[in-house]
Amino acid sequence: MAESALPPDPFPAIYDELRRLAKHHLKAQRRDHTLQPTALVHEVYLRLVSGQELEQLDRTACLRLAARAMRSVLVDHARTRNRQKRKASGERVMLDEAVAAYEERALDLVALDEALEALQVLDERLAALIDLRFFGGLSVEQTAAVLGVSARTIKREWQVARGWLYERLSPGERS
Amino acid sequence: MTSNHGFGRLKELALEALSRTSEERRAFLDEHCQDPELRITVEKLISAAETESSFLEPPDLGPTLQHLPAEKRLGAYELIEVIDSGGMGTVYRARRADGAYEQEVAIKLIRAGLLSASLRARFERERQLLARLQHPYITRLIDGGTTADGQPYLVMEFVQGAPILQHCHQTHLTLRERLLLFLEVCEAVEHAHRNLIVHRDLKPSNVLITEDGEPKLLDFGIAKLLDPETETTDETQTLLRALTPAYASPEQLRDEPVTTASDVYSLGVLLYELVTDRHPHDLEGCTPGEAKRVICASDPVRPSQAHANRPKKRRGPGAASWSRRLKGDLDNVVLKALRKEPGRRYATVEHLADDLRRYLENLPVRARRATPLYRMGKLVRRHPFGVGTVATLLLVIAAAFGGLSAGFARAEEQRLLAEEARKLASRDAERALNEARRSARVLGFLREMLLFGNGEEGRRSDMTVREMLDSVADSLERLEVAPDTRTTLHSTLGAAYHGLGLFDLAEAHLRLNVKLAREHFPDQPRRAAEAHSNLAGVLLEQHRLEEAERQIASASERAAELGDDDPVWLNLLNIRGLIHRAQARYADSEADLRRALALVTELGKEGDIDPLLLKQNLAEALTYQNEKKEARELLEDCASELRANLPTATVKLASVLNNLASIVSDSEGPLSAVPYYQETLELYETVYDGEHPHVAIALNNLAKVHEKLGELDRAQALYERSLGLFEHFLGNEHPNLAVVQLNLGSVHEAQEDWIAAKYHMEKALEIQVNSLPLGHPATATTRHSLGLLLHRLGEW
Repeated sequence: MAESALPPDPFPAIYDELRRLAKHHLKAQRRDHTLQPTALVHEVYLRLVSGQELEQLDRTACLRLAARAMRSVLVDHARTRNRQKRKASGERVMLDEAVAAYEERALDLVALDEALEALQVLDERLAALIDLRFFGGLSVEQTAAVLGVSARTIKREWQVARGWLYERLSPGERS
Repeated sequence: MTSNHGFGRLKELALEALSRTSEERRAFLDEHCQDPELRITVEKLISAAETESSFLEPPDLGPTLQHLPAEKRLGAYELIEVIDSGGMGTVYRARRADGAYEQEVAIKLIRAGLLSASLRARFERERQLLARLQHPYITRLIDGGTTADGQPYLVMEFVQGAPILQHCHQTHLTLRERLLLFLEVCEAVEHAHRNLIVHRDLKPSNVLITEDGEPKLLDFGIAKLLDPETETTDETQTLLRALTPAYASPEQLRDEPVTTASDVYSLGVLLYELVTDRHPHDLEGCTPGEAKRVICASDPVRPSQAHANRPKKRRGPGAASWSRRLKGDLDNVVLKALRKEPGRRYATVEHLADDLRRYLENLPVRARRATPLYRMGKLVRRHPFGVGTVATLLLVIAAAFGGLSAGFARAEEQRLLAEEARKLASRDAERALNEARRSARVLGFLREMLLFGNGEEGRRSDMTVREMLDSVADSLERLEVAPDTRTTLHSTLGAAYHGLGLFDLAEAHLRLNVKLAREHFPDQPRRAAEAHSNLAGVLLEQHRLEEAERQIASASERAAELGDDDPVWLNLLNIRGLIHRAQARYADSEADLRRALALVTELGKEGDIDPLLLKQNLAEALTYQNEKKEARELLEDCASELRANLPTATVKLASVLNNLASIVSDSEGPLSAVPYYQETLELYETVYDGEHPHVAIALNNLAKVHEKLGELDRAQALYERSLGLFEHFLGNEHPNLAVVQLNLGSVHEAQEDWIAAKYHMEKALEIQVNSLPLGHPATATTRHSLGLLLHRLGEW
C-alpha cells in the first residue's frame, strides 16, 4: 500500500463545517432574517484563513475550496428538495430561496453539477473557473488573479466553458 | 462524447475562433479543422458561447467571496467569526488586535460598492451623529472607518443575547412580562427619536435580550446611514428595499418618506408578535412583491383572534385567558400602531407606550378614542387659515395632552422655538424670534393647563379633542394671561374649533382675538390683518357674507399699511376671493386669487399658504366664468402634484378631484366623471371615517352623476345620505342644504313623485331666500325648477 505524500484533502472537513453552520444559522432563522447562503462560505473562508490546521493553504486554494463547498451545499439541497415534497420549515425555505436564485441562472442545479463533474474530468481549470465565478461570485479580474492567467484569457475561457455547459444543459441539444 | 484529448482540441479551436472576427473565423476553421464532425461541434460550441443570456451570471445574494477581506484584520481589529450577514454586508465578531481593550466588538462590513465615493462624506457625518446616541438599551456605535480598498465598516458594541421573541419563548414570559419588556424597548426608541434618529429597520432580530433580561437595540439609524437617498443606483435601491419587508411599514415599502411613524409601525408588528406569537400578516412563502401587497392592502386579524386561532399544539395552558386579555383594549392598541396611514397611528412612541401603561394599570386606553384627534389633525392641515404656527401649535397641543412628561413637552418647545426661528429668519429675524418666543409661551401655558388639570376633575385620560379644547378655553377665561399670549391662544382655539366645524365657538374666539389685537396692539397691522381675516373666514363658512365682507375689508385696510407684498396678504386674498365667489362676483374672485398666486411665487418659501389651494380656488372661479380649459389645466396640475404626496395629501387631492369631476362631466359627459367622484368620495370617507360635511358634498356630487345617467334610485339614496350629514353638521339653513334639497326634488320629479318633488324644492327655495343675497343665481335656478314643476302639476 503506497503512502500518500499529499496532505489530507481538506474539502470533506470544510463541507461538514459548512453544513453544520448552515444548520445552526438556519435553525436560529426567523422570517426577518436575511442570512444568505453565500455568507456561509464567507464564514468558512474566514475560518480557513485563520485556521491553524489549514495554514499551508494559500488564499487561492481557500477561495477555490470555499466556492466548491458552496456549490455542494446548494446542489445537495436541490437534490434533496427534488426528492422530497417541500416542507415549510425555516431551513428549507431559506435554502429553497437560494437554490431558486441560482436556478434562475443555471436552469437545473443538479444537472449543472453533473455537467461540471464531466467538465472537471475534461478540463479542470474550466470547471474551477465556473466554481469561482458562478458559485463564489468572483469578478473576472479576481478569477484571473486566482487562476494566474490574464483577464482576457479568463473572459474567453469563461465563454467557452459557459457555452459548453449551456449546450449540454439546453433541452433538445442533449444527445 | 468527447475524450479528454478531443476536448483539448475542441477548446483550443473554440478559443482561437472566438478571438477572431466572424469573417476570419471561417478561414481559420477551414484551415485548421478539416474533420467535418469536429467542425460541427466547434461551431455549435462557438454559437452557444456567444448566446446572450443570463445563464451562469452569478445571482446577487449579498456578500460573496469577492467581498472578503484579504486577511482577518480590519483596521485595528481582528475578526473572529461571522455573526450575521445580509444585503448590506457582513457582521463579524472581533476584538482589538492591539489589546487596547479587551471588550469584544461587532463589526459591520458594508458591502463593497454600496457607497459611492460621494456618499462617503455623508456616511462619516451620520456616523458621528449616531456615535452620540447613548442609552443603556441601545448598542453603541464605537468606531468606524474604511478598509484599504475603500469598503466602509462600523464598529459596534458586541452584545450577547437572544432575539426578543426567542427570549420570550425560552423564558416563558407572561403577557404582562412581555409588555413590560416591550415598554423598555419603547423607551430606547423614544430616546433615539428625541435625538431625531429613526431606526428604520426595527425587527425582532434587532432587539436582543441580554442575560440580565435587558433589551439591547441593534443597528439604530444604520439603514439611514446607508440610504443613498438622492445619489442612488437601482442596485442599491433594490438591495435596501429587499431588507425586511415583514417589518417595514407600508410607506417604507412604497418608498415614501420615512419618519418616526415608521418605527411606530414596526414596533406595532413586534408587539403583535409578542402578544400573539404570530406575524400580523401571513407572509409564508410570499415573494417580496407579494409581501408588499399584503402589507399595504390587507388588515391584520385582531390580536385576540389571531391568538385564539393558533394551532392547538402551540397553545399552552391558560391560552384562552390569554386571548381574552388581548380582546378589546390591547387589540385596539396594537392595531392603532399598525394603521396603514402614518397619520392614524400613535403620534409618537411615547403615546404607544403610554397607552400600554394605561392598559397595565387598568385605565382606559386612548386607542379607541383616536378618531377625533386624528380628524382634527387632518382638518387643521387642510384648513385655509392654518398659518404655520397655529397648525404646529395645535398638533403640539394634541401631543402635549397625550400624557407627555413635562420634560418632553419642554424639549418639544425648544425644538419648536428653534424651528420657527429658522423658518422665519430669512425675512425678519427679530420678528421671527418674537413669534417663536410667543409660540413657546403659549405652549408653556397649554402645558401647564393640560398637565395640571382643570378644576375639580383634573385631567381625564379619555377626553376628546373637543373636550380638551373646551378645557383650554375655560382655563383661558379664568386665568390671568398676558395679552400677547392670550391673543395667540384665542386665535389658536378659533382655528381649532373652525377645524372641527364648530363655527359658533370658533367665531367667539376669533372675535376676542380681533378685540384684543385692537386694544393692546393697535400699532401692529399684521396682527390685526390676520385676526380680521380669520374671523372673516369663519363668517364665510357660516355664509354670513355681509359680515365677512366687513371683516375682510378691515383686514385689507390694515394689511395695506404693510405694503402690497407682505405675506399677510396671502391668506387674506384667498379668503377675500372665496367671499367674492360666494357673492357670485367671480371676476373679483379671480383677480384676488391671481394676485395671491403671483405673490406666493414672489415670496417663495416665506408664504405660509399652500399654492395648490390657491390654484384650486382660482380654477373654481374660472369654472364659474366658463373658462374651463384653464381651470382644468390648473386642477390636473394640482392633482398630479398631490398624488405624489399621498397619503398626507388625501384631503386636498379629494377636493381637487371633486372640482375636476364637475369640469369633466360638463365637457365629456357624466359617465366620464363617475370615477373622479367615486374616488373623491372614497378618499373623504377614509379620512373622515364617513363623518364630515365634505363627505356630504362628495355624496351629493356622485348622486348628481347617477341622476344624469338615469340611475334614479341610486341617486336618491346618495342624496338622502348627503342631506342627513349636512343637517347634522350645518343645521337647517345652510345654502349647501338647498342644493341637495333641490337635487332630491328633481330626482323625485323624474320618478314622477310630484308631492315629494314639490316638498324638497320648496325647502330649497326657502333656505336660499333666507341665506343667499338677493338675485343669487342659485336661487334663480331653484325658482325656475320649482316653476316648471308647478306648471306641470297644474296640468296634471
